[in-house]
Amino acid sequence: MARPQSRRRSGPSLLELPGAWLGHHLQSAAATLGRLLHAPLATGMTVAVIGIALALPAALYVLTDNLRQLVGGWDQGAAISLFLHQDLSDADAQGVAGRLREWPEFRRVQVIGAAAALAEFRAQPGFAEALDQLSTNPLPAVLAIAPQPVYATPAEIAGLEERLGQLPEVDFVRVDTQWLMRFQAILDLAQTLVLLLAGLLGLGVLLIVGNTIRLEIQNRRGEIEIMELVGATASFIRRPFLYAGAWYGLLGGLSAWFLVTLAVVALQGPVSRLANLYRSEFPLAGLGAVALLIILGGSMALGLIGSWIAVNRHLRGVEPD
Amino acid sequence: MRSFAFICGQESSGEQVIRFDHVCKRYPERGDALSDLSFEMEAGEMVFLTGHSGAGKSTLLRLIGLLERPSRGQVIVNGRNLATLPRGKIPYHRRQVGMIFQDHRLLPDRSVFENVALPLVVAGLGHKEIGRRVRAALDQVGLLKRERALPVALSGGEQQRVGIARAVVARPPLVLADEPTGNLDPDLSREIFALFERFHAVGVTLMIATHDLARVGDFHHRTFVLSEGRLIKDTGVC
Ligand SMILES: Nc1ncnc2c1ncn2[C@@H]1O[C@H](COP(=O)(O)OP(=O)(O)OP(=O)(O)O)[C@@H](O)[C@H]1O
Ligand SMILES: [Mg+2]
Repeated sequence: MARPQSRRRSGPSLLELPGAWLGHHLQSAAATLGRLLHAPLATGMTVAVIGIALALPAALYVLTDNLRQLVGGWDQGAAISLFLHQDLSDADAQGVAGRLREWPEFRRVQVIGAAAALAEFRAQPGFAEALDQLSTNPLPAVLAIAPQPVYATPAEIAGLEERLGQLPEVDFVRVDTQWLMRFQAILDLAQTLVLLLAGLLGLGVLLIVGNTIRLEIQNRRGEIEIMELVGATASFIRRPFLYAGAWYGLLGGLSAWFLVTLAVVALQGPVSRLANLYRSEFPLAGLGAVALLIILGGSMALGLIGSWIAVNRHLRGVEPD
Repeated sequence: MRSFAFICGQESSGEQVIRFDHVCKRYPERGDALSDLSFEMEAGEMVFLTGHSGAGKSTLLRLIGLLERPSRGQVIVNGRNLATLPRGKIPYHRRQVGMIFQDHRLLPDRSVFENVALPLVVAGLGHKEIGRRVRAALDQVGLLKRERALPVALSGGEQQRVGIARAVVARPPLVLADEPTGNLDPDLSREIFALFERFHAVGVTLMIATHDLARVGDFHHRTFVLSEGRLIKDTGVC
């Protein structure tokens, strides 16, 4: 069958090029995903390992996040108690409280008048008789102050203590920083642990992806050689492996998110029951949108870096013969 | 009769396509596989490369395709000295050279169509253009109906023709074939050589290494005889 083809040699036109380039990338990404999903078992294993590795620091992060919120609910009581001079009336105490409420550092300033303080004591079993022996009220007026959460650090509290002690109306200041400091230390520790764990397991993810890509390069050696024979550039050959690494990372990050969310859902029931016993409510917080984005972005970057390392180490050795 | 106008090689114009300048290739384990080899080939020429086994035919072709680098001397292809070609430019050089191997070198898990399309995919051509050119190339080698088959489902001669279609699909001006008919019976081998003859007719420059002296005798083309890595005979341009 004769079919004259007079068309002379011509490359893609310049106008086609950017579209073709982008199209090639999208197609390459989709094709790589397709290839990964074509071997669901192998891909699933790699993704699961990455997911579990990333779920650990993510879960610890969720834990500290929840602890922080729990304690945020705790500091209902004052962290600072201001004992005023004995000779000040309750009205004077209200005046001092009024001035202190102007301070931006304080969330709440509560006046416990001398009479109220006495009544509170009287309510305690055994105290009533003892107090009856006294002719005058021995208790001063007290201001219970709750600082804003941002000022509830040991350093800030120490500064506040100093300034409050210099007020003329104040007899002495008592600060309950002990629990704050301890709690802060625990949170710091947990936070450091999250970072350490994330670093260590991130390195693990790097190695997992790197090794998976290395094996894939080995398996597809023949194909790579033939692609080089017909003029594939290094970047063209690299591309599907880099996409595979990014996909592994992204899918691993998604499964980490899934695992953590599953754990939060599973724990919500027991936590609610526990909270009920304390006549309280405590909705567990899961991974927020920001944390999710960080995990997905981070895991994708780890996958990409892992495959980049493997590709640079192992593709160089593949030469056609 | 099929038209081969789709392959666009240069017309024989006196333009130099290949020049070997005192080329030596030494393998440390073996010694010189090629020694002091010099020749020139012009655009549109068709050259047979013969010689005993181990004479250095494959080595010569591999130097042109940059699968190997000379130990001494210079190889110049299309006016470019391959010794000074930076690593990143090698793929672009290979796109100008279609290579055909005795063992076909097809991807076993890809269809005939995908195998032939590879050079075009690698060069970043669009879908439509790839489909058009691959079908044209398959049509020329008479395998249009087998485009979905896997290489294992093809006979040796058919696989070789797929390899040939892949080598010419991107319309390279230069085609190298290393014993393309090594495993084929005389009829098939005649068919393959007829194919090369038609490529030659439309101006493609061809170099074909072969033991098949009967086929070489059928045509009157320039023939190189290699022995012990030396060019002992060059019939000159016919
Ligand atoms: N990679 C290599 N390492 C060492 N020696 C090699 C290598 N490649 C080829 N040789 C040697 O170089 C010589 C030439 O080999 P080449 O393959 O070019 O011969 P040929 O003419 O193609 O032979 P044949 O007709 O058998 O294919 C041979 O003696 C071979 O042993
Ligand atoms: Mg050989």
